[in-house]
Amino acid sequence: MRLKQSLFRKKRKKESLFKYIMSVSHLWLGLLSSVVVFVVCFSGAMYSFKTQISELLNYEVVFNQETKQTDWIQPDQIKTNFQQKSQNITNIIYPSDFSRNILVAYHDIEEEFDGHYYIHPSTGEIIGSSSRSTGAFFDLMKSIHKNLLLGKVGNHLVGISILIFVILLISGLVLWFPKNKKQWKQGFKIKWSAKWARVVYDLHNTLGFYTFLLLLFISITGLYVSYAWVKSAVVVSLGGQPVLNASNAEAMKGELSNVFASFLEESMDNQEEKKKEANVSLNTLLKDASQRLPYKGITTIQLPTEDNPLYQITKIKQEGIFSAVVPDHVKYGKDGKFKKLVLFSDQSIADQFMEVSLPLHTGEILGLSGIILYFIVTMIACSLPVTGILIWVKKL
Amino acid sequence: MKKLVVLLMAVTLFFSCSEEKRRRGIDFSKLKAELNLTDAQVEKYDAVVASSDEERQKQMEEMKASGKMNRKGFMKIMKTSYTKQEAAFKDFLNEEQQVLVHEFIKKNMPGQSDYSDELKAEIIQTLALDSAQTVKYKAVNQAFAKAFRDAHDHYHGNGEAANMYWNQFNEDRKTALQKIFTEEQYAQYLELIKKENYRGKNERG
Repeated sequence: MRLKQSLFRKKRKKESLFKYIMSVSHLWLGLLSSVVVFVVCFSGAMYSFKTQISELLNYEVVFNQETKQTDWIQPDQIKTNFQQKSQNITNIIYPSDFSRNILVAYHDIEEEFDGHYYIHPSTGEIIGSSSRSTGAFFDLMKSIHKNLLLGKVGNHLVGISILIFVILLISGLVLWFPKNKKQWKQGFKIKWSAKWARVVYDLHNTLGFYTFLLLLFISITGLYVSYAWVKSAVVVSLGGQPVLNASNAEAMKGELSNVFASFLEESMDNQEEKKKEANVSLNTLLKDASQRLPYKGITTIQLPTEDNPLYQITKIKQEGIFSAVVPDHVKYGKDGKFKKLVLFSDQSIADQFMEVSLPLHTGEILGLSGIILYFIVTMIACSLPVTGILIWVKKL
Repeated sequence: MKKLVVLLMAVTLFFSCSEEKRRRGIDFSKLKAELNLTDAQVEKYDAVVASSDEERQKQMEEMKASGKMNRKGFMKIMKTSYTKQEAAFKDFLNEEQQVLVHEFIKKNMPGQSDYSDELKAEIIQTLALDSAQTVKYKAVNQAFAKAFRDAHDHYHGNGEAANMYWNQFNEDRKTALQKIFTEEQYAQYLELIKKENYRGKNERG
């Protein structure tokens, strides 16, 4: 009976109709989505430290234990060292400083095997490969986060629950909004000395308020991945191309044909590039790329493959605690001639958003500090359904 | 009230613990049902599937660890691994079963949104493309693959939209090929691609 009264309570005398609707919908939607929101937030928070945990498990190979020397080994030397063992390098990742080892990916010609080694950043000595994998656990967390291990049905369940969570955040903010000076003070802090019911209420109310903006952002970037219409709306609002559908197919035909034509031009160029043969110095390319991208960062040298005849050097800035972790690329022909500089900042806002939508959702866009911040906020999001239900139970 | 909360939690736990279908690899249990295997074949079949799965898993882990996790790398592992698996099947399957296996793997190759390499090679041979035409034909196919992949951010998670992008870029590919092929070659091309008319229709997005 009390349950029914609580779920279908009447409007209070001094309560506005707007606040009444917000309050009742906050309760109903909260109860409806609470379990899924909790599971999704918890699995997301667990998944956020995947890279860091994996690196910690392989600490002795990932991190440089011998930091006395401070001269980088040059890429040509690395290439020669590997070639002596019949291994063609495909990728070299230079860390931003000497605290880490260099990661080299190679193809073993004799064994027909693709592998990787961490090498010392100064001596080039092979340290080892990261053998301790956390793949199974984090793959499970990722699947739970994305679809609760329920495939397509789970995708929709998560999508709908997060959509509800967005509404809950907004209705929660409306309900948080203080009526008077006393409530203003209460709305910003947790009164730890009060009885547990009040502490729980403050935890829900105050923490919800502080994390509102970031949770709204994380939810929307999550919905962006789940729903085409959210993606389309976000991309179009940022000045990009809408997602192709039956109603805009005719209008977008010309635009997509232009996209195809530009790729065809690039492919034709690549076919010509494949014919070229030259002994290219990776040292020269790295020096040139460093001049074009003069900042501290993680540098990846990608060597030409069967499909892609270009050398590509990618640099990801690693400056400041809250600087955005975004990639810039420099491309060179098979003969080592400079082809193109692709700066992240030169892309349209819509393209930038699409490129970094995932790191924006995970917090990786701000590096480790962003991941920690997102972890804390997501754990608070986990607590919101719990404290919300406790508040409701107390009122029953 | 307590009952309600417990019920909600139990339902979620039940769904969360149910096993998710493998989405990224080929489902060989479907093929198994089509092959009419003998008891002796079943044992060998299961052993090949299990060992190949394990091997692929190792290679995927290696790729992730080497910092090269991308679609191209994924496709390379899948193609090499499934080709090896098909060869392993050949040791104990009859010719009719081998054909079924070949077609099944070709049709269900993960990440294979474009026509198979086998069909592309057949097109070059049947149409008797000269070297200049071959280079251009390959470039057009590469442009198709890149354009479709580049649109991934738009159609991700939306099979219907993926299908529309595929068809649109395929039309652009046909227009480009019309300029490269003779009329006769183009007519032959249209006939040959019917062999894999399932491509693009079931894009998962």
